[in-house]
Amino acid sequence: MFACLYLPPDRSEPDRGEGRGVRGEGREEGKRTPPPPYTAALVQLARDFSPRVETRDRRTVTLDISGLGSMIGDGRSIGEELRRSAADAGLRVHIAVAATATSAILLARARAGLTVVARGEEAHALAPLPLSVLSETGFRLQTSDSRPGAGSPEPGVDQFRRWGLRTLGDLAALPSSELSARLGQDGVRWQRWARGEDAHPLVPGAAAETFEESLDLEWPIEGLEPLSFVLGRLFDPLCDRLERQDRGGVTLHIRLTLVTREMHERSVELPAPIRDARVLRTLALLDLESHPPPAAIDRVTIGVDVTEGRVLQFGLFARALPTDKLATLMARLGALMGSDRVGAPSLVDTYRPGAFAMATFDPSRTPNPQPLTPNPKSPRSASRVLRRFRAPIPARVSLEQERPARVTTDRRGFGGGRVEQCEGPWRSSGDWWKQGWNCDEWDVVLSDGSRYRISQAHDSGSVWFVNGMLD
Amino acid sequence: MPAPARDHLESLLRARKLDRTLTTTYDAPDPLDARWVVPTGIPDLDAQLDGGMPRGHLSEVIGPRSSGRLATLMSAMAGATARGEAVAVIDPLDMFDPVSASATGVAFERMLWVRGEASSSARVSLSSEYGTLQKALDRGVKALNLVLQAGGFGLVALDLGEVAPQTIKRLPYTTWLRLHRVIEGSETVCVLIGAEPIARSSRGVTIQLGAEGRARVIRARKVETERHVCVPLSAAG
Repeated sequence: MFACLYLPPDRSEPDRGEGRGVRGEGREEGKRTPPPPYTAALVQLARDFSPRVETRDRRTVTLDISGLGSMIGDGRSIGEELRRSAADAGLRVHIAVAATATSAILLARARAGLTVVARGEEAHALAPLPLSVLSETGFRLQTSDSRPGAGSPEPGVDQFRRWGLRTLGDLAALPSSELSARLGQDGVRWQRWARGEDAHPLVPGAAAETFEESLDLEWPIEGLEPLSFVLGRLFDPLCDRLERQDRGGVTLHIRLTLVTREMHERSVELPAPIRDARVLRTLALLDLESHPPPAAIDRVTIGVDVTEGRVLQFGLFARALPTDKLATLMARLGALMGSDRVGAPSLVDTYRPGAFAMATFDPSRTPNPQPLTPNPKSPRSASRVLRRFRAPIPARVSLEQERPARVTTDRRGFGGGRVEQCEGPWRSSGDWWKQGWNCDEWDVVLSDGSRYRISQAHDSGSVWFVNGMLD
Repeated sequence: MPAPARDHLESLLRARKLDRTLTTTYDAPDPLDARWVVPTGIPDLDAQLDGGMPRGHLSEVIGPRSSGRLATLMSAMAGATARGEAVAVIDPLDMFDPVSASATGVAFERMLWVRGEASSSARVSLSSEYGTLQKALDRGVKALNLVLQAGGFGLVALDLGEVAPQTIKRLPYTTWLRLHRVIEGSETVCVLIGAEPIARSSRGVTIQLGAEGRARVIRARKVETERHVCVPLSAAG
């Protein structure tokens, strides 16, 4: 079922050629001038009833009302509700409800008030309308054959009038085959419009909607616990709107107006489009926990930058970590440990001992598991993994035949002792043009069986360090 | 409790799929249920473990320094990431070394690394540093809890290998019970790395590594005979 809203021009208002279509077959591209305010009001009125709204021209809006029956009632009830809402908005519109969008548009254009046509009665309802309503409504053919000398020009209402046709019923009653023989497919298309048949499905326009919610507080609030309730009240309707529009938030904006008249603004980048109110509230709270407002809050505003909703297809056997859950987890871990201390380890292209980088942890970006591939650049002893001291421990190392013979430190918990075995040295140096390094590394096994990696830094007076322990 | 009554009770628990809480003798696993274990990637050790560490349970890898605890863990993680699973390492003292771990073949893009505050020394036990260490440990346990609650990971490990045992013992034992309840019935294996036994769930395993590559697998009410397995050497490939 479709409904059409048509706002007729006032007599005092000059005709601005609004009968022309704005897009698609049978309609012309609209002029690139900003739409008048009544167009926005019409669109808003239609969107209050359905998310599938097509703006035909500045004064005509079509909406898909399928599914409203269970909420409002039959077509007449929906039409009455539309008329009431239009009157509340101060719009005197023609409304037509029909099974096809074409019928609804033609009837809304031709008849004032509310017109409701039962399914299958479209041609009958359209029959008495004059042919001129087609051209007034903007049902025109695009040039179907622009070849020079391609025969007759585009057929139109004038041609039909010359044939003696006066109403849409006259045109609809013509034999289709005869019409096709004389005018080709264009003639058939005119006849389908006259019968109220749709030539193409309704194409909803994108809503230029801002997803933002605000709440003025009666009393300023301090602390995150009361704020969580406020955020819950704001996120629930916001996420309902996102759900209806099939949109997901990619950036979350939090603006807190403080009692000091300052604005505390935070933005949270989301790893994937999210429209789960609990997840968004948790992310907002975790961010505000890390960056709390300096004063009590007077007004809370949240907004999201949106993109199209996600369609996820998980495998039957792969264990998937939902992206929204992952985002929440990363935010929680970031709040607990520090955002720079959570992620996936990654190697850097250097031989500097202990060099590494942190990357974003997102296993979904690597969907295809790879077979085991040990790093060919990794150091000698693949059998042991190093526990590295980020701040190396100074050590005293005695040498025999230029090899470590005994290792001791002043650190408690580090035994030290005689070196039973040692491997090395592995010499490395680099970054000489800035704060570089130049050291020899050894892997040693002490008398108690523990294995350590020690190093002698040549660039700082040949001092020995314990870099870590192999396990 | 008489044996028939106990069997009846256990059968009822199994019918309701609550049998993971039973502490009866570990039965030989169903070969069709092999996906409910995470292999360590060390053939001798996996043979002792009947395939690997059971999913949905808390297991531990313990042993002295340089006994191959981290190598065993990284070998299991390398296998898990090669199967496409996500893994996580909670590193309260920030001692994990990606360069040496990369030699085991673990896919870092599937590995979540949660770094705590860096410790300035090994096995910190000075009273002045005790507070820092305890704080790092508490945060590590909280982070582990968060990761386990999020789900979706095949293997999650808490590295307490260089935390003094007396510090770990100050944690309430309910900590580990709570963690076990979080992963019970899930596909996640939680592994604790330590110098001494910490905790394991009823069907979890304790892999006790010793010097010279000796490993012993301990399960509830059943201690297998000690065998020599080449833990580090197998990982070396």
